[in-house]
Amino acid sequence: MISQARNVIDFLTKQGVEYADIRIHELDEAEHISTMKGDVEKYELISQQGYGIRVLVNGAWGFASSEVMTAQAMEQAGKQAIEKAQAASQFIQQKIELSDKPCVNSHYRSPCEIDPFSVSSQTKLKRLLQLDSQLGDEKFDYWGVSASFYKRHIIYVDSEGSEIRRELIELDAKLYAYATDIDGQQQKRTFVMPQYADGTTGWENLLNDAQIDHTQRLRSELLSLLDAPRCQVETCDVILLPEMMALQTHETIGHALELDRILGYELSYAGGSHVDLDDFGQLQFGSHKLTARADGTVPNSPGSIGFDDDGVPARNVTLIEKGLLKDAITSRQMIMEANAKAGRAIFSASGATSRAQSYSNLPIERMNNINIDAGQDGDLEAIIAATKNGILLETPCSWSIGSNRENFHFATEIAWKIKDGKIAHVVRNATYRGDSLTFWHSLDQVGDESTWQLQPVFMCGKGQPNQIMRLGHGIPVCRFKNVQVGE
Amino acid sequence: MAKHPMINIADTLITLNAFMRQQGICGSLTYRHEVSHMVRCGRSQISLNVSEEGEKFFIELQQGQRKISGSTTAQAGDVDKIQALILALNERLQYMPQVEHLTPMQAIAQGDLDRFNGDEQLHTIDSQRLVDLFKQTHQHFANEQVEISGAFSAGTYRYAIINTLVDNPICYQGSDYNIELVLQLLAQDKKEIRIADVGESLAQYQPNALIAELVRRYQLKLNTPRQDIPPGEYDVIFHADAFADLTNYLSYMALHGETYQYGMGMLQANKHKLGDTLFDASLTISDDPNDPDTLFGRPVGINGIARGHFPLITQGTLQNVYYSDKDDCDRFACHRNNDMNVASLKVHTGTGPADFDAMVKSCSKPTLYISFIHYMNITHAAKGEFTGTSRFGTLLIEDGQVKAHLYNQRINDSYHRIFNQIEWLSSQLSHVNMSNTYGMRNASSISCPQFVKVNKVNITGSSAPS
Repeated sequence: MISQARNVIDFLTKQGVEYADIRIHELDEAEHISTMKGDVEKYELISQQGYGIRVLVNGAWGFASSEVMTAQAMEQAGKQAIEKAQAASQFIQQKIELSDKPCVNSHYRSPCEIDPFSVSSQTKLKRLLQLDSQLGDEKFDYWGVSASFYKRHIIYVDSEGSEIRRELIELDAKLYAYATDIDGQQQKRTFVMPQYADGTTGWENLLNDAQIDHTQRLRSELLSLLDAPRCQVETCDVILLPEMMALQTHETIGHALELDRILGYELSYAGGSHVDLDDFGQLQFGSHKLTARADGTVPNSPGSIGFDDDGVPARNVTLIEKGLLKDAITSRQMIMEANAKAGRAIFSASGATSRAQSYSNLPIERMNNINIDAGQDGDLEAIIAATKNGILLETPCSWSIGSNRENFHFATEIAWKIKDGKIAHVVRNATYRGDSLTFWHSLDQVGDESTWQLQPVFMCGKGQPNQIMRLGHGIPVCRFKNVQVGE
Repeated sequence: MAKHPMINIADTLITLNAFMRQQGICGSLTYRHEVSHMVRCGRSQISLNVSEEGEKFFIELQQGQRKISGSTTAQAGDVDKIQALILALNERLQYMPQVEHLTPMQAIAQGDLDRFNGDEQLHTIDSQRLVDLFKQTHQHFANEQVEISGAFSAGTYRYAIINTLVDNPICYQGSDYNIELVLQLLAQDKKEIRIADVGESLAQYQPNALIAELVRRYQLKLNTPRQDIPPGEYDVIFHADAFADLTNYLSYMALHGETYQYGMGMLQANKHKLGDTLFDASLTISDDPNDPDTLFGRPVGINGIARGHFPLITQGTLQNVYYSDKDDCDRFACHRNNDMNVASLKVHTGTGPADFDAMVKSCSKPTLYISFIHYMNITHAAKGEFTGTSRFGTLLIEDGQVKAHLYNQRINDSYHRIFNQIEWLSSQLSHVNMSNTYGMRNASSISCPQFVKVNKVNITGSSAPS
């Protein structure tokens, strides 16, 4: 297949394109299994194959994809991409330029001990049904386990001489349980299986005894929610546990710092950003306790894929250092455009975050692993002990964010009231809201390494046509002062 | 004369169905195909011009109370590849545990139900035509300090279904386009305005009318001062784009039968019954593939269930909820009655103002006008509570005049309240695009009154820049 890819690039180069690349999903398989109340709810196998061709002609992009794998069809798709670029070039203000990158001939493979696709259906079902049986309770309406396994072999070749092979394996596993509370309203607890940043992503993760512990914890938390007091409207300190910290980071740092969004390319759909180009190096984004990164080099995460879809090797980019805004989530195209617009070299190199959901999508700026450095304010117990009046929040229930990422309103599945340094009781239906910058300035406690956890995200939507992206957030437990809750 | 592509697909499905029967396999096959073209504009230039073609076969096999499913990319002629997948799935099927509540597979609808409605011009549209809309808009605003962004998507989609209980497949082909065009006013606090359009044939596309409407909204925004308002309850007139979005969420929270049975939405089977009056008497919502007021009428769902007139809410009374998924229906001993994935909802009109000027004149007391709701999400499903912010032009209207434009306002309210506090619905109907671009192309729109006035909507603030 690699020779077919080279031939297409040669063909496109002969057609006079300024740049071309092809991504071939030689193998792209998924297996989805879910259980509910002891039954297998779904068992689905998905197999797809296809490729996407991107060309730069007269300073404009054109892109075409196809699932017909013949050499003739590839050339046809290439011609279609050229036509698209020619049409697009009729309405541009500034020709697209790409920043320099190393020419690489390389390979990336996800760290994996046991390939989930080598494990029999029976073995998988047996384990998932075992976890399902641990979750159930007579007070629960529904409960279950879902696991999705992904395996992708992707070939990338571009006209600058890079050739990259990626063999990616991903695992997305969740637990869920629903029960009706004393007011006759349904409550839920869900749990996304975290990944170990220095671990592996294979079937071995589901065999881990920790999964049984999680079923027991989830079960007990849902039972405690059923007659818990409702969240009161007040202003107090909030402590965000890992799943909630991941959402907070994702929505108010990650999306706000995508450079295409800052430049205005997402305006008609997802929105813009409160961050301007003038803010880089100037804006105090949060308190001095905040250091955030776009780190594609985390060894084990759905956001770590070795190279982005521009063929740029993964990097660890400091976005915010001690609260000061320094960099963005960037690609080869956008840094050139941003520097030209700003009239100064704000960005020195692509952050290697240009990624596409699949072969049929054009790559755009996507989060890889948007992480926050662990701090020195101790473990979770120490942070709780240091809190006089607060609320501990976990697991997103809903999220709504202003169109410039300037404000947010989040609801959580579970919360615990903290009084005088101790957990007082569980709280139902907790929500909190804030203005993004004010909120990050109120960050006053950052948990140590013991609280830092990598949260995988498999459902981040962006762009038109909409693309669902896999990524990660490595985050510690954090405390924020004087936050509005319960509205 | 060349055969219509769907005839070839039908032949392939008949062959594969016969193969399954020969093998003693009980199952269903669904074919889906899409051609999608999209041009996207940002910063007053084309940022993306893409074309996608996708073709997939979905297979579901059932043996007694065991079930398995799978899908693959394949072209219509790849019979061997699909047969191989059928056999591989059938082998694994033996290892699937039995599911007690699973009922036998049912025959799909049969009869004169094929529809080949697609506009070929949208299948093969020259992307220059899509680019020209943005170019033309740019030329119109060439002397203004604005940036243009937006998206123009056009394409066709096909599906065909068969199962081993019937001899013939049911085939559907449709086409659609949808447009959104946004202006950012650089010299006026980066205010944003937006227009949108949706249609099923190119003949419905009227670029000059779209640009004229954009100009009207631009002038309105340009000529109004900005004002801040305190949080509180306000009477709100929702434009069709905003009210259709509220209706779309309501449909998932209240009209989705599976959610209703699971108790995961705002209506629950053990509390709310068909025939209960749950909403304002002015609210009537229906789904009818033969209603000329709606777009994309599909007589059969992707699940093979025949569709006809389907009243959902009539004068505030719950008439039906959608049951589309067999597995969920089996769990609750219900029968599939429709396919929500291909619904064409219509919110019936009332006697309220038909155009913008009449709408403004009708407001004597302070009233907010919300044209669009950004990032709506459910904060408490059982109570039907949601949040979201207004966007693309929020106005304060008073004494029959537009007094001011407001920064985006956050709404925290419930669908119970919104759909029970309707003062009036416009007499003019409008189509609002509801297609999302997740997964394969599947056109969707809601036909909605041009304006709907709702009293006492809870506005909880904004993050207006100083």
